[in-house]
Amino acid sequence: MTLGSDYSDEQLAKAAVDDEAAFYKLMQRYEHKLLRYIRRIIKINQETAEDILQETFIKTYRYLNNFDPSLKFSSWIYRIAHNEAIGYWRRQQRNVKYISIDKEENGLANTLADDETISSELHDKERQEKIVEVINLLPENYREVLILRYLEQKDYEEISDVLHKPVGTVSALIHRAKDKIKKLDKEHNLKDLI
Amino acid sequence: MDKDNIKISDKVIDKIKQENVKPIPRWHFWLQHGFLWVLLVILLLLGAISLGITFFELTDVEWGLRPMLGIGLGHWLFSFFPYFWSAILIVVAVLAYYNFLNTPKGYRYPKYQVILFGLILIILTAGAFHYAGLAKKARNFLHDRAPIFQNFMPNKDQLYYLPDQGLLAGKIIDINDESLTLKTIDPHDWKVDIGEAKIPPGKKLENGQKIKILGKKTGEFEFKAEEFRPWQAGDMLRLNNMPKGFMGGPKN
Repeated sequence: MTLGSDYSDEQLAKAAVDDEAAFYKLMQRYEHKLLRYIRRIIKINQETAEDILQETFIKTYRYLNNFDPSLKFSSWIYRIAHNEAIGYWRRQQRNVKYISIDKEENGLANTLADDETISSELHDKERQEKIVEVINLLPENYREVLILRYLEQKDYEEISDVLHKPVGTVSALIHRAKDKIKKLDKEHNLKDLI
Repeated sequence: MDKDNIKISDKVIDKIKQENVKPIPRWHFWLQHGFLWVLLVILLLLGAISLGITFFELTDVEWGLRPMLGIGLGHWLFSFFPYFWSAILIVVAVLAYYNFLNTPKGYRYPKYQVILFGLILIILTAGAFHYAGLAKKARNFLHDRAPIFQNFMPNKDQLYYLPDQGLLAGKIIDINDESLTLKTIDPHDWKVDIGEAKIPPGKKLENGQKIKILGKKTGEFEFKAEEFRPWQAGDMLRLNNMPKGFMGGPKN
């Protein structure tokens, strides 16, 4: 069978059980996104992130028959990547930082600043870096949802499936994270930045 | 496409081929998920049985006797409360809760909903068990077949053996129209005058039966019965023991 781009992830996942080419296609779709996601949630070098990604793909392949087609394949594979990364972080807690956003990673700051619940006008680099600093002051569970929502562009239901938390909890975490950013913004003399 | 990323996909495909990695068969996951659901049902049933027995033990208590015997409510509750079954219920409910969270999509439900729904389910099933008499049967089965459970159940022989306060409890070992002989826990044989005593409706005194007797101590190991109470007070509430034709009770 020819596996064109018109195949959905879910169709490819179904085909991949008997067809390695379909799985190869799936990996191509996700390797860049997942590699970036892994490096966003744990502070590791490129090589280690690639090792974790390899393990993620191998696990995905082994568990293909456990994929529930009523879920999005993307949420499922993100969940596996999340677990692999967290597993690595737990084994290496002393050496690895959990969820720390790079100052260069201004996408989240931009997105949050564009969000209607937080005032806008955030465009220069200095401001973005300061917002990233503020975000890094948040507890891990807030940073986790912010990354998925604003950097990985996941909706609440997908975040719920990745983090295995009810949608209501995800929504509350995002709401509280925004409130905390506003509060921290004032505490750290970043007034007028957001 | 990024060169390095192509390498990762190729490495994974090579590893899959070299190590002959295969997707785990579907039946393995069906079995795994099935096991979780079966375990959940078993845990809920255990919870319902525990709570049913708790209901039974609490309704079995002769609450009306407490003021007559002059026992404080705290002491009374302490003597009768089914701690063992309540502890089993708590353990089982916690296990069922975590088991449910591990079922596929179990995580999607808010904790309070899972707890509330689980409790309602257990309470309704336990209520059904209790009123159908199954809780009593389960309790008595365990009491008779597994002596270890006797340590965890209120010892009614002792609790209701207060002859000076007008209460006797034991097993009938001989009976005629005027009197009966009751073996108590000490063990002593009590001669009980039953000529003027009230018997619960639909009940008949028989040899070998366990019974509670209200009345007066008239001498050493002699007692005058005024009223009989069934050994298990809740009996009168249950379908099988209800008066004929009453609320679905047996008609014949």
